[in-house]
Amino acid sequence: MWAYEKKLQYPVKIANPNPAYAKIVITQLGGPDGELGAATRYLNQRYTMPYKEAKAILSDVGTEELGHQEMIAAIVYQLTRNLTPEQIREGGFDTYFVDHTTGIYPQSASGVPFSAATLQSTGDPLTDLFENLAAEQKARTTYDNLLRLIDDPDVRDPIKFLREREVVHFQRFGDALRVVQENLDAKNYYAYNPAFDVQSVPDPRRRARI
Amino acid sequence: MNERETLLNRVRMHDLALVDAGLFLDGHPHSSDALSYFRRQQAAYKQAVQNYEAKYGPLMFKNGDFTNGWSWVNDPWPWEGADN
Repeated sequence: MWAYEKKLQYPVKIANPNPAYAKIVITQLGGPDGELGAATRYLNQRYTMPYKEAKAILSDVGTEELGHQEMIAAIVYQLTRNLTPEQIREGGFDTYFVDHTTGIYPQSASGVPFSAATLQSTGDPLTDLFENLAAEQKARTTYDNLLRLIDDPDVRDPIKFLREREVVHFQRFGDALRVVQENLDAKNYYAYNPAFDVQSVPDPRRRARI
Repeated sequence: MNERETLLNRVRMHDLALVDAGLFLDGHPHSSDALSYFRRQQAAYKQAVQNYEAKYGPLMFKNGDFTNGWSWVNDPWPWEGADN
């Protein structure tokens, strides 16, 4: 079960609204490599993960991603406060505004609504973890690109924090991958899927660890 | 029902009471009856959590007592259907 903490993981305090920035930052909520996809990916993958360390990492990283959705939403919200119709038009925010006003809607920068088609849960621990390692790097690249386009230090500061967390999560999924591999046949990691085939191919190493 | 399940059900009971009363209070923040009910349940909830965690480990890792190591990863996890 989840409980809500009434705080942002890292503060967001943006003095100047900027609809052009809002239009690109929203992609880290509902875009192909955004935080909603990240949380959805990890929190759904964890059920079939056979190893306790990796169950914990998927649970805890997935939970942190829920907090990152909140930070992105807070950034977009603060960037779109007190806008005039002129500012909305000039910032290119009119295409978002016409459908959502300044409501927070999970979509990509190009306007595609969030889709679970951008993520995977394969039920294969190795495949899922490589998916997650890639996902963290893709999100890091997106944050790098946002930092290339955004000058306002009030916006850059929380974005830099989120970018750093992508790097940390990449490291932690590396730990999870190590745990999975230590439980598999080092001569052939792909001999069987430990989340599915384990009954038919008992692994002495796994038994020894428990 | 084993002891773990009993202690966890006590946590669940007071947790649900808090969730339920909290939702009601969101819409009726000035209800003194609801507030005093919430506060009674809150005390019971804290005690129930303490009783469970002392024996079976943390429900949230930030509040955990890890003097005997990082028990957070320990099986079973809640979705595994083993009284958790």
